[in-house]
Amino acid sequence: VRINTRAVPVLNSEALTAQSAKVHSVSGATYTSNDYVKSLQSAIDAARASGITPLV
Amino acid sequence: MSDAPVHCAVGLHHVEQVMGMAVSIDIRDPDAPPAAVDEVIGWLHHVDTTFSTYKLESPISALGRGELTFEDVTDEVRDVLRRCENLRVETDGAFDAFAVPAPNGTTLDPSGLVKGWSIEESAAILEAHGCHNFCINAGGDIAVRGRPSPSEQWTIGIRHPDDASALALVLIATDRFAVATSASYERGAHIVDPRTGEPTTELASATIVGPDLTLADGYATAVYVMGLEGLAWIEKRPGYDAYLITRDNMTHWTAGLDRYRQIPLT
Repeated sequence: VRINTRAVPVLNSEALTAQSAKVHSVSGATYTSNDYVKSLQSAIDAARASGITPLV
Repeated sequence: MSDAPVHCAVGLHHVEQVMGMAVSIDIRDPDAPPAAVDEVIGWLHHVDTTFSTYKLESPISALGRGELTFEDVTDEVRDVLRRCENLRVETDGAFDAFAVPAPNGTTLDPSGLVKGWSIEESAAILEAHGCHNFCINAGGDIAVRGRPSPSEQWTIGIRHPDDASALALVLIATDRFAVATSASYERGAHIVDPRTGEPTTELASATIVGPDLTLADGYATAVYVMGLEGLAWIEKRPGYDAYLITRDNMTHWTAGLDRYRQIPLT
Protein backbone atom coordinates (compact mmCIF):
# COMPACT_ATOMS: atom_id res chain seq x y z
CA VAL A 1 0.00 0.00 0.00
CA ARG A 2 1.49 3.30 -1.11
CA ILE A 3 -0.96 5.58 0.64
CA ASN A 4 0.61 8.77 1.79
CA THR A 5 -1.41 10.49 4.47
CA ARG A 6 1.20 12.90 5.68
CA ALA A 7 -0.59 16.01 6.75
CA VAL A 8 0.99 19.38 6.05
CA PRO A 9 -0.64 22.71 6.76
CA VAL A 10 -1.56 24.22 3.43
CA LEU A 11 -0.46 27.67 4.53
CA ASN A 12 2.98 26.57 5.67
CA SER A 13 5.69 25.10 3.44
CA GLU A 14 3.48 24.77 0.39
CA ALA A 15 1.83 28.15 0.37
CA LEU A 16 2.47 29.75 -2.97
CA THR A 17 1.15 33.08 -4.01
CA ALA A 18 0.29 33.95 -7.55
CA GLN A 19 3.23 36.34 -7.59
CA SER A 20 5.76 33.64 -6.78
CA ALA A 21 4.49 31.00 -9.16
CA LYS A 22 4.42 31.09 -12.93
CA VAL A 23 1.53 28.90 -13.95
CA HIS A 24 -0.23 28.42 -17.26
CA SER A 25 -3.61 27.49 -15.79
CA VAL A 26 -5.42 27.21 -12.46
CA SER A 27 -7.57 24.33 -11.22
CA GLY A 28 -10.33 24.97 -8.69
CA ALA A 29 -14.01 24.44 -8.15
CA THR A 30 -16.16 25.49 -11.09
CA TYR A 31 -15.87 29.18 -11.77
CA THR A 32 -19.18 30.66 -12.65
CA SER A 33 -18.97 33.27 -15.38
CA ASN A 34 -19.15 35.93 -12.64
CA ASP A 35 -16.40 34.38 -10.51
CA TYR A 36 -14.21 34.05 -13.57
CA VAL A 37 -13.90 37.81 -14.00
CA LYS A 38 -12.10 38.02 -10.63
CA SER A 39 -10.14 34.77 -10.95
CA LEU A 40 -6.46 34.10 -11.45
CA GLN A 41 -7.41 32.24 -14.61
CA SER A 42 -8.88 35.40 -16.14
CA ALA A 43 -5.62 37.25 -15.42
CA ILE A 44 -3.70 34.42 -17.06
CA ASP A 45 -6.01 34.57 -20.09
CA ALA A 46 -5.65 38.34 -20.37
CA ALA A 47 -1.87 38.05 -20.33
CA ARG A 48 -1.88 35.29 -22.92
CA ALA A 49 -4.26 37.19 -25.19
CA SER A 50 -1.97 40.21 -25.08
CA GLY A 51 0.96 38.06 -26.10
CA ILE A 52 2.80 38.09 -22.79
CA THR A 53 4.45 34.85 -21.70
CA PRO A 54 5.31 33.47 -19.21
CA LEU A 55 2.10 34.18 -17.47
CA VAL A 56 1.03 35.66 -14.14
CA MET B 1 -21.83 33.39 -31.09
CA SER B 2 -18.41 34.53 -29.94
CA ASP B 3 -15.37 36.57 -30.80
CA ALA B 4 -12.82 35.12 -33.18
CA PRO B 5 -9.86 33.40 -31.55
CA VAL B 6 -6.96 35.74 -30.82
CA HIS B 7 -3.83 35.13 -32.86
CA CYS B 8 -0.92 35.19 -30.44
CA ALA B 9 2.81 35.40 -31.04
CA VAL B 10 2.61 31.61 -31.11
CA GLY B 11 -0.66 29.75 -31.57
CA LEU B 12 -4.22 30.74 -30.73
CA HIS B 13 -6.07 31.73 -27.58
CA HIS B 14 -9.78 32.01 -26.91
CA VAL B 15 -12.14 32.24 -23.93
CA GLU B 16 -15.72 31.09 -24.50
CA GLN B 17 -18.55 31.68 -22.03
CA VAL B 18 -20.60 28.49 -22.21
CA MET B 19 -22.24 26.04 -19.79
CA GLY B 20 -22.39 28.86 -17.24
CA MET B 21 -18.62 29.20 -17.05
CA ALA B 22 -15.53 30.34 -18.88
CA VAL B 23 -13.69 27.84 -21.07
CA SER B 24 -10.12 28.93 -21.84
CA ILE B 25 -8.46 27.41 -24.90
CA ASP B 26 -4.70 28.00 -25.22
CA ILE B 27 -3.10 26.40 -28.29
CA ARG B 28 0.66 26.70 -28.74
CA ASP B 29 1.10 24.97 -32.12
CA PRO B 30 2.41 27.76 -34.41
CA ASP B 31 0.20 26.67 -37.33
CA ALA B 32 -3.00 26.00 -35.34
CA PRO B 33 -6.02 26.62 -37.63
CA PRO B 34 -8.78 28.91 -36.29
CA ALA B 35 -11.29 26.33 -37.60
CA ALA B 36 -10.12 24.03 -34.79
CA VAL B 37 -11.23 26.54 -32.15
CA ASP B 38 -14.49 27.21 -34.02
CA GLU B 39 -15.34 23.51 -34.00
CA VAL B 40 -14.65 23.22 -30.27
CA ILE B 41 -16.88 26.25 -29.57
CA GLY B 42 -19.71 24.74 -31.60
CA TRP B 43 -19.26 21.42 -29.79
CA LEU B 44 -19.39 23.03 -26.32
CA HIS B 45 -22.62 24.87 -27.16
CA HIS B 46 -24.08 21.62 -28.44
CA VAL B 47 -23.17 19.93 -25.13
CA ASP B 48 -24.77 22.83 -23.21
CA THR B 49 -27.99 22.58 -25.24
CA THR B 50 -28.16 18.82 -24.76
CA PHE B 51 -26.99 18.28 -21.19
CA SER B 52 -27.77 21.49 -19.29
CA THR B 53 -29.70 20.96 -16.06
CA TYR B 54 -30.36 24.72 -16.01
CA LYS B 55 -32.21 24.70 -19.35
CA LEU B 56 -35.69 23.26 -18.81
CA GLU B 57 -35.99 22.46 -22.52
CA SER B 58 -32.80 20.35 -22.71
CA PRO B 59 -33.13 16.62 -23.43
CA ILE B 60 -31.51 15.85 -20.07
CA SER B 61 -34.15 17.95 -18.26
CA ALA B 62 -36.95 16.22 -20.17
CA LEU B 63 -35.40 12.86 -19.32
CA GLY B 64 -35.19 13.86 -15.65
CA ARG B 65 -38.89 14.78 -15.65
CA GLY B 66 -39.78 11.46 -17.25
CA GLU B 67 -41.07 13.07 -20.46
CA LEU B 68 -38.41 11.19 -22.41
CA THR B 69 -37.17 7.67 -21.79
CA PHE B 70 -33.74 6.12 -22.23
CA GLU B 71 -34.98 4.80 -25.60
CA ASP B 72 -36.03 8.27 -26.81
CA VAL B 73 -32.68 10.01 -26.47
CA THR B 74 -29.67 10.06 -28.80
CA ASP B 75 -26.80 7.57 -28.65
CA GLU B 76 -24.66 10.40 -27.33
CA VAL B 77 -26.94 10.96 -24.31
CA ARG B 78 -27.17 7.22 -23.70
CA ASP B 79 -23.38 6.93 -23.85
CA VAL B 80 -22.97 9.65 -21.21
CA LEU B 81 -25.59 8.07 -18.95
CA ARG B 82 -23.86 4.70 -19.29
CA ARG B 83 -20.60 6.31 -18.25
CA CYS B 84 -22.40 7.84 -15.25
CA GLU B 85 -23.82 4.45 -14.30
CA ASN B 86 -20.40 2.79 -14.60
CA LEU B 87 -18.95 5.49 -12.37
CA ARG B 88 -21.76 5.08 -9.82
CA VAL B 89 -20.92 1.38 -9.56
CA GLU B 90 -17.16 2.00 -9.48
CA THR B 91 -17.51 4.60 -6.67
CA ASP B 92 -20.06 2.55 -4.72
CA GLY B 93 -22.52 5.42 -5.03
CA ALA B 94 -20.24 8.30 -4.00
CA PHE B 95 -20.78 9.60 -7.55
CA ASP B 96 -24.43 9.21 -8.47
CA ALA B 97 -25.87 11.25 -11.34
CA PHE B 98 -29.27 9.71 -10.71
CA ALA B 99 -29.81 10.67 -7.07
CA VAL B 100 -28.68 14.26 -6.55
CA PRO B 101 -30.84 17.39 -6.61
CA ALA B 102 -30.45 19.16 -9.96
CA PRO B 103 -31.13 22.85 -10.71
CA ASN B 104 -34.10 21.86 -12.92
CA GLY B 105 -35.86 20.28 -9.92
CA THR B 106 -35.19 16.68 -10.98
CA THR B 107 -32.74 14.17 -9.51
CA LEU B 108 -30.91 13.49 -12.78
CA ASP B 109 -27.68 15.49 -12.99
CA PRO B 110 -24.76 14.15 -15.04
CA SER B 111 -22.93 17.51 -14.79
CA GLY B 112 -20.19 15.99 -12.61
CA LEU B 113 -19.06 13.94 -15.59
CA VAL B 114 -20.29 15.97 -18.58
CA LYS B 115 -17.86 18.84 -18.09
CA GLY B 116 -14.78 16.62 -18.07
CA TRP B 117 -16.12 14.50 -20.89
CA SER B 118 -16.89 17.52 -23.08
CA ILE B 119 -13.36 18.87 -22.61
CA GLU B 120 -11.77 15.50 -23.30
CA GLU B 121 -13.81 15.43 -26.54
CA SER B 122 -12.70 19.00 -27.25
CA ALA B 123 -9.10 17.87 -26.95
CA ALA B 124 -9.79 15.15 -29.52
CA ILE B 125 -11.24 17.78 -31.88
CA LEU B 126 -8.11 19.91 -31.60
CA GLU B 127 -5.91 16.86 -32.19
CA ALA B 128 -7.93 15.99 -35.30
CA HIS B 129 -7.04 19.49 -36.58
CA GLY B 130 -3.34 18.77 -36.08
CA CYS B 131 -2.94 20.54 -32.73
CA HIS B 132 -0.69 18.71 -30.27
CA ASN B 133 0.29 21.36 -27.73
CA PHE B 134 -2.58 22.97 -25.86
CA CYS B 135 -4.28 23.54 -22.52
CA ILE B 136 -8.06 23.72 -22.11
CA ASN B 137 -9.45 24.97 -18.79
CA ALA B 138 -13.20 24.60 -18.29
CA GLY B 139 -14.14 26.38 -15.08
CA GLY B 140 -11.14 24.93 -13.26
CA ASP B 141 -11.03 21.47 -14.85
CA ILE B 142 -8.04 21.13 -17.14
CA ALA B 143 -6.86 18.94 -20.02
CA VAL B 144 -3.40 19.47 -21.52
CA ARG B 145 -1.43 17.98 -24.39
CA GLY B 146 2.22 18.40 -25.26
CA ARG B 147 4.08 21.49 -24.08
CA PRO B 148 3.62 25.28 -23.96
CA SER B 149 6.94 25.64 -25.80
CA PRO B 150 9.67 23.16 -26.79
CA SER B 151 11.69 24.03 -23.68
CA GLU B 152 8.83 24.16 -21.13
CA GLN B 153 6.22 21.94 -19.51
CA TRP B 154 2.70 23.05 -18.66
CA THR B 155 2.39 24.17 -15.04
CA ILE B 156 -0.95 23.98 -13.25
CA GLY B 157 -1.76 25.82 -10.01
CA ILE B 158 -4.27 24.41 -7.52
CA ARG B 159 -6.35 27.18 -5.95
CA HIS B 160 -6.04 27.80 -2.23
CA PRO B 161 -9.42 27.10 -0.61
CA ASP B 162 -9.40 30.29 1.46
CA ASP B 163 -7.89 32.71 -1.05
CA ALA B 164 -8.89 32.92 -4.70
CA SER B 165 -5.65 34.76 -5.49
CA ALA B 166 -3.33 32.17 -3.91
CA LEU B 167 -2.24 28.70 -4.94
CA ALA B 168 -1.95 25.73 -2.59
CA LEU B 169 0.21 23.73 -4.96
CA VAL B 170 1.82 23.85 -8.39
CA LEU B 171 1.95 20.75 -10.57
CA ILE B 172 4.12 20.11 -13.61
CA ALA B 173 2.06 18.38 -16.28
CA THR B 174 3.19 15.51 -18.44
CA ASP B 175 1.80 15.05 -21.95
CA ARG B 176 -1.88 14.00 -21.87
CA PHE B 177 -2.58 15.24 -18.37
CA ALA B 178 -5.85 16.11 -16.70
CA VAL B 179 -6.61 17.97 -13.46
CA ALA B 180 -10.06 18.25 -11.87
CA THR B 181 -10.98 19.87 -8.56
CA SER B 182 -14.19 19.57 -6.56
CA ALA B 183 -14.51 22.07 -3.75
CA SER B 184 -16.78 24.11 -1.57
CA TYR B 185 -14.84 27.30 -0.88
CA GLU B 186 -17.53 29.05 1.03
CA ARG B 187 -17.89 27.46 4.44
CA GLY B 188 -21.43 26.33 3.75
CA ALA B 189 -21.21 22.91 2.13
CA HIS B 190 -23.12 22.50 -1.11
CA ILE B 191 -21.97 19.11 -2.36
CA VAL B 192 -24.39 16.45 -1.16
CA ASP B 193 -23.39 12.87 -0.44
CA PRO B 194 -25.78 10.89 -2.69
CA ARG B 195 -25.57 7.95 -0.29
CA THR B 196 -26.98 9.91 2.65
CA GLY B 197 -28.50 13.08 1.21
CA GLU B 198 -26.40 15.05 3.68
CA PRO B 199 -23.84 17.75 2.83
CA THR B 200 -20.21 16.67 2.94
CA THR B 201 -18.09 18.36 5.60
CA GLU B 202 -14.61 16.81 5.74
CA LEU B 203 -12.83 18.33 2.73
CA ALA B 204 -12.36 21.87 1.49
CA SER B 205 -11.17 20.60 -1.89
CA ALA B 206 -10.36 17.37 -3.71
CA THR B 207 -8.05 17.49 -6.73
CA ILE B 208 -7.59 14.48 -8.99
CA VAL B 209 -4.87 14.18 -11.64
CA GLY B 210 -4.52 11.51 -14.29
CA PRO B 211 -4.58 10.86 -18.02
CA ASP B 212 -8.31 11.34 -18.75
CA LEU B 213 -10.44 14.31 -17.71
CA THR B 214 -13.75 12.44 -17.99
CA LEU B 215 -12.67 10.10 -15.20
CA ALA B 216 -10.70 12.73 -13.27
CA ASP B 217 -13.80 14.96 -13.14
CA GLY B 218 -16.05 12.15 -11.91
CA TYR B 219 -13.40 10.88 -9.50
CA ALA B 220 -12.98 14.39 -8.03
CA THR B 221 -16.70 14.54 -7.24
CA ALA B 222 -16.63 11.04 -5.74
CA VAL B 223 -13.48 11.57 -3.67
CA TYR B 224 -14.77 14.91 -2.37
CA VAL B 225 -17.77 12.95 -1.06
CA MET B 226 -15.62 10.08 0.27
CA GLY B 227 -13.35 12.42 2.22
CA LEU B 228 -9.91 11.21 3.34
CA GLU B 229 -11.00 7.62 2.69
CA GLY B 230 -10.87 8.59 -0.96
CA LEU B 231 -7.04 8.48 -0.87
CA ALA B 232 -6.99 4.70 -0.48
CA TRP B 233 -9.68 4.42 -3.15
CA ILE B 234 -7.70 6.50 -5.69
CA GLU B 235 -4.55 4.46 -4.98
CA LYS B 236 -6.34 1.51 -6.58
CA ARG B 237 -6.84 3.45 -9.84
CA PRO B 238 -3.63 3.15 -11.91
CA GLY B 239 -2.47 6.50 -13.29
CA TYR B 240 -4.67 8.62 -10.99
CA ASP B 241 -3.58 10.58 -7.94
CA ALA B 242 -5.28 12.79 -5.39
CA TYR B 243 -4.42 15.97 -3.48
CA LEU B 244 -6.89 16.72 -0.68
CA ILE B 245 -7.25 19.77 1.57
CA THR B 246 -9.36 19.31 4.69
CA ARG B 247 -11.57 21.99 6.24
CA ASP B 248 -8.84 22.59 8.84
CA ASN B 249 -6.36 23.33 6.03
CA MET B 250 -4.28 20.17 6.24
CA THR B 251 -3.14 18.53 3.01
CA HIS B 252 -3.09 14.84 2.17
CA TRP B 253 -1.99 13.21 -1.05
CA THR B 254 -1.28 9.92 -2.75
CA ALA B 255 2.37 8.96 -3.11
CA GLY B 256 2.22 9.16 -6.89
CA LEU B 257 1.42 12.86 -6.81
CA ASP B 258 5.00 13.67 -5.82
CA ARG B 259 6.26 13.14 -9.34
CA TYR B 260 4.24 16.14 -10.55
CA ARG B 261 5.26 18.54 -7.81
CA GLN B 262 7.22 21.63 -8.67
CA ILE B 263 8.50 22.11 -5.15
CA PRO B 264 10.08 18.99 -3.59
CA LEU B 265 8.69 17.69 -0.34
CA THR B 266 10.62 18.31 2.83
